[in-house]
Amino acid sequence: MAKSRLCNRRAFAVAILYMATLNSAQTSTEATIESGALTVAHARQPHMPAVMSSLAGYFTVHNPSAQRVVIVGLSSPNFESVAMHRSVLKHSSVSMEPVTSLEIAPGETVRFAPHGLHVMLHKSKFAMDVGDHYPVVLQLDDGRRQTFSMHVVGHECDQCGATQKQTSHHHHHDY
Amino acid sequence: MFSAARTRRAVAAILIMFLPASPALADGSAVVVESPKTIPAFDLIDHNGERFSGEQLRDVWSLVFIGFTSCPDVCPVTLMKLEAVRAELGLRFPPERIPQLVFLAVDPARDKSVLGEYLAHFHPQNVGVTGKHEQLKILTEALGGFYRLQQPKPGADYYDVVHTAAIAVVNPMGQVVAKIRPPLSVQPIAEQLTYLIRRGTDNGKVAAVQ
Repeated sequence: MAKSRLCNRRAFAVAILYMATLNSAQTSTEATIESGALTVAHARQPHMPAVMSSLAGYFTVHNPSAQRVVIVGLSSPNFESVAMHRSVLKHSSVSMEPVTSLEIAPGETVRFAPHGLHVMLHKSKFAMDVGDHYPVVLQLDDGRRQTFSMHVVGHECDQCGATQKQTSHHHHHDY
Repeated sequence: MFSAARTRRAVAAILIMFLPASPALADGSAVVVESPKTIPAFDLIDHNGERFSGEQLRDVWSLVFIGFTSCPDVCPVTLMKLEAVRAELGLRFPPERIPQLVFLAVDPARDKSVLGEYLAHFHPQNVGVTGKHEQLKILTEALGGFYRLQQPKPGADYYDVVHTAAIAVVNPMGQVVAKIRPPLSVQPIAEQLTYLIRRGTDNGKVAAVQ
């Protein structure tokens, strides 16, 4: 009887642990809101072979302010060009469409994710490996610039980009 | 305090609430081709520069994905997911029954010189195939797919390639027996391929699914 009760308690513990793991997995992918024009979280670029001319980067961007924010461009000192694109699945075929600007409403969160909205990082200037990180600059329509750090992650690590803190810059940016 | 039966019911209820959806109901399903046809003759090269023809699609299951190496988002993510599918199948089948992954690179001008290194990044056993457009089109059409090279935008040196997103499942007789449509979910695809492979090798022919 005592053994049966112990088994029941263990079963309960397993169930609760399973629930806790699920909840933990869900919350760990959520963006953390911070002060500033935009908050960027989980910025990651899957590590790819050096022969690839174009790579994709993903992140979550949140607008905690009371004003709309419009991203009109991106850049990085590690790439010749960076641009927003959207992968579109239509009639069983896939294509990429350029996204020239992205408006983020007050309180809105936009997710850059595989098979959807992403940044295309074109022509890397440096060899990079898993664990490396590099700056990416968001250019806003009011002239402000905001920098966040993109992490190079392994294949198994699509969701594990660390939450980023950004530095805001007005009208100029130096490295 | 709690009876054993009540506790078991409570645990079961909690687990059911949090279990993932049934694979059969998840996105990313294989659509079976009702009347499989043998792929006609074609003449391409693999990532090692060796000839790749219908012979290389015989006596082995194949997952054929149409793409291009300059594709930043969909192609590498698909290759990673298919690798996860193959790993899952590795728990169920001996190596000779696990499908080979064939990446049909349809942008030979950019693909040919980098194909080997590109695919080795995902798995050393992946097979990259490319060649002349007239031959690529024979195979893509036989797979029920297509591709189209876009013109670069003015001032840009990058151009996109519109291509079929579905993955063709080719049986060891060189017939397209199913297509896996995105979005791709590893577990349901592994389940469906397991079913196809097990049924497909019964009596030496592919049986209809469902």
